[in-house]
Amino acid sequence: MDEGCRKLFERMSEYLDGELDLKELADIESHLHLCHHCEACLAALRRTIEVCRSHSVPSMPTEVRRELHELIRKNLS
Amino acid sequence: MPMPLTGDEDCGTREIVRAGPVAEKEGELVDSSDQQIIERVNQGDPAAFEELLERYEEKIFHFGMRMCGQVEDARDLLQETFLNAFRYLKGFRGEAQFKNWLYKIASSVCIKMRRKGKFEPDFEISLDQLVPTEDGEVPQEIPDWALEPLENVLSKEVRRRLSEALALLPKEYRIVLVLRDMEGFSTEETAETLGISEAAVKSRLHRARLFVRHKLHEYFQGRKP
Ligand SMILES: [Zn+2]
Repeated sequence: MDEGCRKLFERMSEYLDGELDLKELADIESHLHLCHHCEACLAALRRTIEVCRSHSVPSMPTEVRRELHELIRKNLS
Repeated sequence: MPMPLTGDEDCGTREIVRAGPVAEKEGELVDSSDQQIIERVNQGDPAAFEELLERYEEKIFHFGMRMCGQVEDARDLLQETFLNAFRYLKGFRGEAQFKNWLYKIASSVCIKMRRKGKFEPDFEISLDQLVPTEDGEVPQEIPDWALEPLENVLSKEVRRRLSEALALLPKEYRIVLVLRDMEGFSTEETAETLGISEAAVKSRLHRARLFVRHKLHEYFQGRKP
């Protein structure tokens, strides 16, 4: 892994989140054009974020809801 | 002479102006009706608090499930969060959105909580551990699982692997990933919620994402014929 790759590897999330300034952005994009290794690495990270964003959990069981409301009502008085 | 009406209006305008930048930044309107409910609670109508429950209980439960992985712990986190919110509601100043204030409470409950019968990972993640190695972790070509349409990749098994990877992350990394990539918080909001710097948020988020990427990669590698 050369220095350009290492630098990109450290900033990849900020790159994907649009948090880099123009100079850093230009550096990274010119490296990406030339380096398939980093391009592949970046694609896998982008996909990981997409998978995370679509993470679903089961909805709250009725029992949990009932217990919560009972507990709060007890504390309201 | 009675005060002209404009006096009151000025006060009102100042309130709106103060809330303005937040609303603009988020691209959504400040939810004034949360504020109205809170005022009712604080003015001696505690039953109004149940309206806040109705609005946010599902969100906080989901946050609990993501952080703890099981219903029992998510339930504890939910109860503790709303009990504390009720207790400290008088201290809520309305400068922040109520939702963010609630997540702040939930996060601090979560950090203190111990998951029942579960091992709590505790280690630093260094970037060096996660650098893709030449022996094939990241090939020269984009892997199939990053190229295929997302819906083809999101199998039940992948979702299970993601939950597993989350559970293996140390809590301080997990909470940043959950807030940023699952609950939709910005870097700034996450920093504010957890009381850490934006630089720390970015650093933990990147490590947590790379950790999950590594776990997903292992899974997809193992599936290859
Ligand atoms: Zn490179």
